[in-house]
Amino acid sequence: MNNNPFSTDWMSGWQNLQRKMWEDWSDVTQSNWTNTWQTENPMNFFREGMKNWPNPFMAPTQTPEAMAMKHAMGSMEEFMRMGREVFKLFQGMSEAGNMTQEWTSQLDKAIQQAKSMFGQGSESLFGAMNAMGGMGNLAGMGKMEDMTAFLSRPMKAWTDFLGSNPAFSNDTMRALLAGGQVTEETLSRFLSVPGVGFNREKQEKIQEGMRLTLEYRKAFEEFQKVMNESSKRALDLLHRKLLEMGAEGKSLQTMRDLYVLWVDCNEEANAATVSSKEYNEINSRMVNAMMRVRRNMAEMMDSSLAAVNMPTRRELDSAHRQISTLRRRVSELEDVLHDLKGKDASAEIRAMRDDMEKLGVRRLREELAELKQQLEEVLTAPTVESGAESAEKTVIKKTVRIGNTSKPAQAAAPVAAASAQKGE
Amino acid sequence: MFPFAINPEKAVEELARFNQKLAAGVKTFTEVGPIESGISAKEAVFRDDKVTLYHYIPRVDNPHRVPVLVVYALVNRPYMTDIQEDRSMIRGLLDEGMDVYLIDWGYPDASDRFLGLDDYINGYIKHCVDFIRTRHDIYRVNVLGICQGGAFSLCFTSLHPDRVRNLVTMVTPVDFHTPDNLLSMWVRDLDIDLLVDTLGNIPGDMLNLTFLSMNPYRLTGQKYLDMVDLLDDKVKLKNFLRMEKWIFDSPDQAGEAFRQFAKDFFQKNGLIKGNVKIGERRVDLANITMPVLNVYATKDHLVPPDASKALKQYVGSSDYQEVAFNGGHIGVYVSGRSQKEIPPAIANWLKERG
Repeated sequence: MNNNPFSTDWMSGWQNLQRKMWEDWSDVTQSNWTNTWQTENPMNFFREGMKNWPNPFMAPTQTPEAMAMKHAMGSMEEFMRMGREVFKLFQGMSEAGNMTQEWTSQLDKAIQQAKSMFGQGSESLFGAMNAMGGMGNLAGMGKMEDMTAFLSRPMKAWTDFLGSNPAFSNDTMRALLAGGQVTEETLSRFLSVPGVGFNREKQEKIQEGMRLTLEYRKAFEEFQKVMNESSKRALDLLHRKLLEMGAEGKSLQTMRDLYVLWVDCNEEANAATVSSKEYNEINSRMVNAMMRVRRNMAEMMDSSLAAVNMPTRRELDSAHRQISTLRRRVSELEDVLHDLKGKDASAEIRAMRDDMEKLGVRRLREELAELKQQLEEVLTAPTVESGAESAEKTVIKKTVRIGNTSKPAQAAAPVAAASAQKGE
Repeated sequence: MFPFAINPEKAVEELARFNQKLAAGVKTFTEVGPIESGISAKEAVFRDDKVTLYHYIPRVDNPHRVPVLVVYALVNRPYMTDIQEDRSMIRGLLDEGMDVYLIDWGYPDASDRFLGLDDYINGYIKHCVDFIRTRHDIYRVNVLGICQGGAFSLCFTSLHPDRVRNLVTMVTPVDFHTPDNLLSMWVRDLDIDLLVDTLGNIPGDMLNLTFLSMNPYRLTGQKYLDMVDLLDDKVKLKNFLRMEKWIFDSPDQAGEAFRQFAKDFFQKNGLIKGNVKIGERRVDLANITMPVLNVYATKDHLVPPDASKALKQYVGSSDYQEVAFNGGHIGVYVSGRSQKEIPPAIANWLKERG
C-alpha cells in the first residue's frame, strides 16, 4: 500500500483505466471502436459507444433483464465518474504538495466545496456520488436530471401548450415560465387582466393555469431545497465519519468502501429528512400543486377536444362510471339468482355438516367403523370353547370397546343442542 | 491517519475489475432466459372481470379439508408469494398439506377507475369465497390476507363472518397512525380527492417512486453495483431478476378504491375507529370472532409491527395468536428462514382448528 496518497500520478492511472475498459468492451462487442479510451474519461464509452451497440438491453423494452442492465450500466457510469473525481481530488492534493499540511483541512475544504455546489449541477466528487444513488435513480430514471425532468413535467407541458398559442407565446410568457426575471408587479398585472369577448373563459383558464404553474414551481423549489439540505447533512456525516476513522487509525481500502460509506451517510440523512414534519408538508404541497396544474391542463385539453368533436376525458369518465354501475347491477342480479337456486337449504346443510365436522363427528364415524370391523372379526373368528363361553367373551369385548368411545359420544351432544337451537 | 488507503494502482485495478465483471455479465444476461411469474402448478378456476381465482395443485394426496384463500394486496403482484422454487410461501403451505387458492387482481385499466372497495370486498372476494365454498361443498373457508389484502380480509371477515372459518393476517396494517408509519405520514396531508380526480387510476410507477423514496440510495444505486457481483452466476442473477421484475411489476390502482383506502384507512385511521364503510355497512372488527392468527415482521418498514399488533385489541375473537417473524416486509415471504418458519406455523395453526 502506498502510504503517501498524494505522491503518485493519479491521472496517468486514470488513463490506464480508460485503456483497459476499452479493451474489455471491445472483446465483448467484437467491434472496432477507435479512440474511445482516448477521450476525456471512460464514461464517454457508455454515453456514446453504447448508443450504437445493437443488443437486447438497448431495445425499448421493459424486461427485467433490460431494466437491470440499464441500472447496472448507470451505476457503472457513476462509479467511474466517482473514480475520476477521486483521482482528480487526490491529484490536486498531490500537485499542491499538501502532504505537509493536515489532511483534515484538505478534507474539510473538499466537503465545504461540495456543499456549496448543491443545486448547481455539481460535477464534484460528492456531486458524482450523489447522482449514483438516491433521487436521481428513482424508478429507473437514471440521473438527477431525469428526476428533475419528471417532477418538472407539468411545467414543461405548460410551456409547450402555451408556446403553441400565439396569444401567449410572447417573451414575457416565456421568461415567466422559464423562471426568468419577471417582476412580481408585472406578473400580478398580467394575471389579473380581465377576460373579454368570446374567448373570455379560455383566457381565464390560461391565467389560472399560469398562476398554478407558478405555485407549483415555488413548491418544487422548496422541495429541492429540502433535499439539498439533506444531501449537505449527508456530507457533514461523511466528514465526521472520515475524521473518526482517521482518529481511530482506520482507513477505507477500496473505492467501493468509500461508496458504501457514502450511501450509509445519505440513507441516514434521508431517513431523518423524510420523517420530518417539514418534509411531509413540503412534499404534500408540491404533489398537490402538481396535481392542480395537471387538472387545469386536462380541463383545457377537454375544451379543445370538445371543440373538434373528439371524446373528452369527462365523457370517458362518464362512460366508465356507467360501465361500473352496470357491472354492479349484473353482479347483484347474479347473486340473487344464485340465492334462488340455492333455496334447497344446501347452505344450511353445509353449515351443519361444517359444525359437525368441527365437533369431531368424523372421528366418531371412524371409531364406529373400527368397532364394526372388530365386532365382525370376533363374530367370524373360529371358536374352540363351548358356545356359551364364546358368547360371554364376545359380550365382554363389545362392552369394553363401546366404553372407549364415550368421549366422542359426549362431544356429539352440542351438535344436537345446536340443532335444537336452530329449531331443527 | 489519512483515512484513504487507496492508491492509483489499486483503484485502477478495482475499477477495471468491476468493469470486466460487467462486460462479462452481458453474456450471462443473455443466457438467463425468461423470468417466470410464480413457480407452483396452478389452474385458473374462476374469473370475475379482470380478477382470476387460481387453485394450486395440491402436493399431498389428501390435503386439509378446508382450503385457504390467499388475498394479496392490490399493490404489486401476488406471485411474490410463489417467487422461486426455494422461496415460496405457497409451496410451503402446499407441502404442509394445505389446499391453496389465490386471488389475482389483474391490471386495472381506465374502465376500472370507478371500482371501489365495495366492489373488491363485497364483490370479488365474496364471489371467490362463494366459488370455493360451492366447489368444496363447505360452508366456511380459511382466509389468509397479506398486507393491504390483510386489511381487505379483515373487512370481509367482519362483514361476512359466517363465511370465514379461520383468519390469518400477514404484515397487515390495522392501526395506520403509529408514529413510525412513514407511508401513512406522507399520505396524511395529500389532497387525495384532487389526486384521484386528476389522475383517475393511480399509476403504479408513482407508488414505486414512493416506496423507493424510503431508501433511495440503497434501492436505486447500491443494489445495482452489488448486482455486478452476481453476474458470473446465472442462478443468482436469475433470482435477482425475478425480484427485480416483481418490484417494478406494479399495476395501476383503481381510482375510487385508492381514494377510499387512502382517506378512510391511511388518513382517518378508520379501521380501528370503526368508521370504515364498505358498501352500506360499517366494518366492526369486533365481529371477527373466529380464530385469528396475526403474522407480523419485526423489521417491517412499510407496516411497522405496532401497526399490525394493534389487531389484538380490536378483534372479537377469544382465540387470537401472533407470530413475530424476525425480518422485513418482503423477507417474511421470501427469506430462507421464513420458508422454514412461516408456512409450517400457519398450516399447523389451521390444522389444529379443523
